[in-house]
Amino acid sequence: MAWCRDLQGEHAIHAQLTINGGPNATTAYIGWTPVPAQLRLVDGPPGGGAIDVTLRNVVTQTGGQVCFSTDRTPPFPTTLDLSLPADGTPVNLMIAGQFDKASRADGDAAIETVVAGTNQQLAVTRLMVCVRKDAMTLTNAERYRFLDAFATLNDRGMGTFSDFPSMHRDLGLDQAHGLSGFLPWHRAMLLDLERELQSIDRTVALPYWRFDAAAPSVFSAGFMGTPDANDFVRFEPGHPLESWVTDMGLGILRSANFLPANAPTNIRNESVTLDLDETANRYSPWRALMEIDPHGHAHTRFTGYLFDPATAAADPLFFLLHCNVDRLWAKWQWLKDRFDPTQPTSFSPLGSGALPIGHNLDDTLWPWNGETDNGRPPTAPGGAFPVSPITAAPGARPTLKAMIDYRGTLNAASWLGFDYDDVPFQ
Amino acid sequence: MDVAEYRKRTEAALEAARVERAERVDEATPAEALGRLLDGATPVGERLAALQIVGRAAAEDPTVIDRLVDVLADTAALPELREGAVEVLQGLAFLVTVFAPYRPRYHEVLRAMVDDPNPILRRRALAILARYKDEYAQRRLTEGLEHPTKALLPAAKAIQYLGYDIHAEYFPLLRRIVEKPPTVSAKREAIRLLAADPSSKTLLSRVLNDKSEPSRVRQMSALALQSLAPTSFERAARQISLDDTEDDRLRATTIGALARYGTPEPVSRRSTFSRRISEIQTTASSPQLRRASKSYVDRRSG
Repeated sequence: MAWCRDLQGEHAIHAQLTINGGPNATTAYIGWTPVPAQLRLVDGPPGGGAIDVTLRNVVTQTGGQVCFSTDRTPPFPTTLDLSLPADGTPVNLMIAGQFDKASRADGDAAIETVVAGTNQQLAVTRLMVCVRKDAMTLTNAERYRFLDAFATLNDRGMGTFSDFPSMHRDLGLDQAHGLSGFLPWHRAMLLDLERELQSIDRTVALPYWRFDAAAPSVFSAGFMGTPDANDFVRFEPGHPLESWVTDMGLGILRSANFLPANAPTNIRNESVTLDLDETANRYSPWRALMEIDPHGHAHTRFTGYLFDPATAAADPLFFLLHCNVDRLWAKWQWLKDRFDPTQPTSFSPLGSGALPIGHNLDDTLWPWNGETDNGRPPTAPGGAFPVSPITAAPGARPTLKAMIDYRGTLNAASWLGFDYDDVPFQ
Repeated sequence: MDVAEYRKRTEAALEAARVERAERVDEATPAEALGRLLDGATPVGERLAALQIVGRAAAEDPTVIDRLVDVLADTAALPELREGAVEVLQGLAFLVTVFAPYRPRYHEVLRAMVDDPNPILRRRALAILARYKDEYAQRRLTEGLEHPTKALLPAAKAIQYLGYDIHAEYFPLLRRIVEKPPTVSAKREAIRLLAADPSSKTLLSRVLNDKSEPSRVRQMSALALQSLAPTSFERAARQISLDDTEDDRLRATTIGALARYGTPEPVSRRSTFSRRISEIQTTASSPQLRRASKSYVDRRSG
């Protein structure tokens, strides 16, 4: 604790760090993408001069770790020196998670504000570096929180999860497959689901299933379940998903054509996928190739719900599979610098009208736009896009365009509020 | 982790994969692969490999979908080739808008496959058609359940496929199957679908409470009743949960369900039931039972 002596005697000085606009209880959740923060003195010395402070990670061995900057341009050091006006005027800075140093639990990252050159603490601010992770790497607690939130959203078939299978069937499938809208539409669907889960438990981020690697713990009775002889997926008794119900009925039908200890066969691996259309690296050919393999091939490594587009989204594994499809797109965007939505290499067609509605850059995304005519399906399940406490993007009626620069690389306001564990910001 | 180094490593992995692909001189072009696929004299392994290449080529030339349907329709072709064709076609079915013009013929071929001598092909065809609420497939499945000599599939599978489009007219048949099941699996499947039938509440309660029923059948009844009639389920579940003579897996299921969905009980007025569950948490020999009880105690005290 730092102390200040003035005419009224000695009193404590504090600093207050506000992340993402605050209040920190709902906004102190960050990924690799730098987010705005403000630091100010509380009870600073009246009429005194500025106080020089240093921001740093409290613990550097475990838990989430952060880095800092005064703008969004790398590098992002792990400490930052600032001068704080005594009158409490806030100073702006940027905070990001240190790549590869994600949190495991809520508040396991902490930023310490100390008087520069000393260990006198002015503030300790807890936060979480919350990113989408490989499902194989989740701790038991992370896995349980995810499953628990998912089960709550499903609520034995009576919860709002029912909107998700409904939007991924019948005429809704045309909005989401076979053309350019495939990747943006599913990115929006995943983000919608993730925000719904986070409204139940803010520490949850969607995990992904790497379908080019063995994932024995994913295909276990404690996580995504194991099929019986009749392809009915069984869980450990008392597992959160044991009471899973959709309009397909009670439970989940799924059986893999590979052993849990092995990776599926006949599926493009990550390196090959990222290198499709290797010379030009254009969105449209890349999307067309990857939609078949690995995406379609990943679905058909199973019988049951996942085997067909009309039933696939009734299986929770669908979302882990598609999270990996989205991760591959995100990683391709990072490797090839494909974040600029005005460039046809990032997305095409630009504008509207060149392809059926729902597949052009400026089209709004069904069902979040609520449209039920002019080439859209007759119903729009789920309502407007859910809001987030940490970003205003993509708005209630998002366009495809809003899904491209998801990290706000070119425009900070486009940041959608998620990151993948293996796709850095820089 | 140094991000610049990470980028270099990722790019190096792509380059290595590129070199590996370039060295694979035997990989056919899509046109060559199509030739191999349709040539009956080509060894089956090469034809299966060609299937994958042809399927991927649909990204640029969707007409190959028709050629894949040809393979599926060829009753003289090897069953493994036709099975492979179904798998590749289903992968392409995810390109919904691209696949749409080919779907009517695809389904026509699948309908013909319903009577194929190969049971795997029959099963694949019926599974796909049932998802599309195909009336012909539904009729053949129902016929097989009513007259086992006409069965195209094991009863449990036939029931499961009817479940893709469950409606009330199937419920009397399903209730008869529960009363007089051809197999335990069929009984379980019928119970699963009856979770949507309000008239089956008494039947499901009876099965759940019948200790002579196999544990897995009772477990399915528990889940079905929970979905159909939560109050009836809770009543039965509370008894089962505390009954030391009951199957541990079933008890773990009922305790887990009560933990999550049971009627809230104020912490200040802990009932005998809660106290007994606390005891189970520490004394049960089954790890599943201990875990479920812990979950109950945690949620109820939290």
